[in-house]
Amino acid sequence: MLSNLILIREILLKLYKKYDIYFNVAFKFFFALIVFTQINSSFGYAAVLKKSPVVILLSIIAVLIPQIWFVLLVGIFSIINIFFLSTEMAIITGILMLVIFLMYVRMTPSRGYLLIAIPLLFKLNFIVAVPIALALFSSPASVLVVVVGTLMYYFGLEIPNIALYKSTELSDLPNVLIDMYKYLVSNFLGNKQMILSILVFIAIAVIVYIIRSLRIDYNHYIAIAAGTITNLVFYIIGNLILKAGISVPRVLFASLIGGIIAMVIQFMRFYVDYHRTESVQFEDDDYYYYVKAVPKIKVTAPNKKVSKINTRSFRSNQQEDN
Amino acid sequence: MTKLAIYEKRIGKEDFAINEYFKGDYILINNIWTRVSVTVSCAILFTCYILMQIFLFLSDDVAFDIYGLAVGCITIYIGLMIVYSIFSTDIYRRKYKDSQRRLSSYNDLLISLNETKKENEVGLNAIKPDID
Repeated sequence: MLSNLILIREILLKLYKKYDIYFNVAFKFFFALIVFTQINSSFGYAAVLKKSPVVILLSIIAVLIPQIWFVLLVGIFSIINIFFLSTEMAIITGILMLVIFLMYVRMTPSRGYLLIAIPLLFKLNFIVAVPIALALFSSPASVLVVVVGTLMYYFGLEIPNIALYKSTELSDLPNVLIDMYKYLVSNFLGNKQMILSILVFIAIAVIVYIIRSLRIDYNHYIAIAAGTITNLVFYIIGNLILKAGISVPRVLFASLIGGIIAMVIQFMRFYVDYHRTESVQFEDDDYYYYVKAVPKIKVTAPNKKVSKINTRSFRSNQQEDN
Repeated sequence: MTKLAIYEKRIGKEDFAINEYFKGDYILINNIWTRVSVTVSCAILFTCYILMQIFLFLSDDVAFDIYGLAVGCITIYIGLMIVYSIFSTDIYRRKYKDSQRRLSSYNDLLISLNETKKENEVGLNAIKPDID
């Protein structure tokens, strides 16, 4: 069973290495297509942006541009959509996106796709896998992308509600902005679910990072399990304290799915054989080394050759014999 | 050759640009840009916040504490500056280190390519017919 899984992994990696250009192009295109479609379904107020040729054209553009430009494209796409609903809301969204861009995206442009993906993963209940995977393969500070993405997701949920405040004349504008501000302070910044989610994700990242840094066998898998349990326990406790109104079965489902996805990502990244762990010691001019080496398991796919027997020539030979 | 071409096409340009700087200079320049970004972001957010407080003061007659507001804004700004300077230094130090690592393996590949080329040339000279 396990050897079959390793074999499948090797085949998939080999296929990816062989056709990585095509895979990357297809990934970028379909990812952009899903993002634009989701934005349209959530707050698609601009009829022109909902048309399929426009969405496909934008997805093709997304394939050709770097990640940082893609983030900008998604931001502009969202602002135009919101502009058709409410000018004030579009201005507020534009300001917030500019701040996010300056304070986060500019510094870590390689996390652009992940930042855009987080609201989608939230919707699909797959979000738990992100802080676990980030802490497994990067530093705990990288959880910042999850925090920013979470803020974006909850802000997106509030857009239709905030946009209900509309000014008919220019003189109404200050009053409408005040109403929007009050709504944002009470409902967005005071959103208990959002605050709890951010705290839980930070806790997951810290715990997973500490465990995966320990020099113990199966540390990566123990870290994933700890991250999953942290999500479940912290959400339940936080829910009781803050009365955030989070459904426990949903949290359980999200934790399990997140843990499984993190496990798959870990398995695809590397799989090691702890039974063959070697501890070696050596020295050079400057240091003495204590090294623990755990070999990676690699299985070579059997090279099957199918030789075709030409049936026609076989039959004709038979007829000649007769 | 293929590995070199792939590297040059994907991240080579960025690494060559980073390699133009010394480590300290690269981190310093990017830290300055980070601080400019934080300053602009804070200016935008604080302007919006102060405007809202003025609107609230005018419409709802909510108390407008200029001193408290100024102290709050400056404290947040300094706090963000410190946090972002630490993060930025860490991020760009790692970026520089990664680019140096990649450039080092790129140089190794170039050296091995050069050696192969020399070996081929020697081989070709050895089998060259003596025309004279």
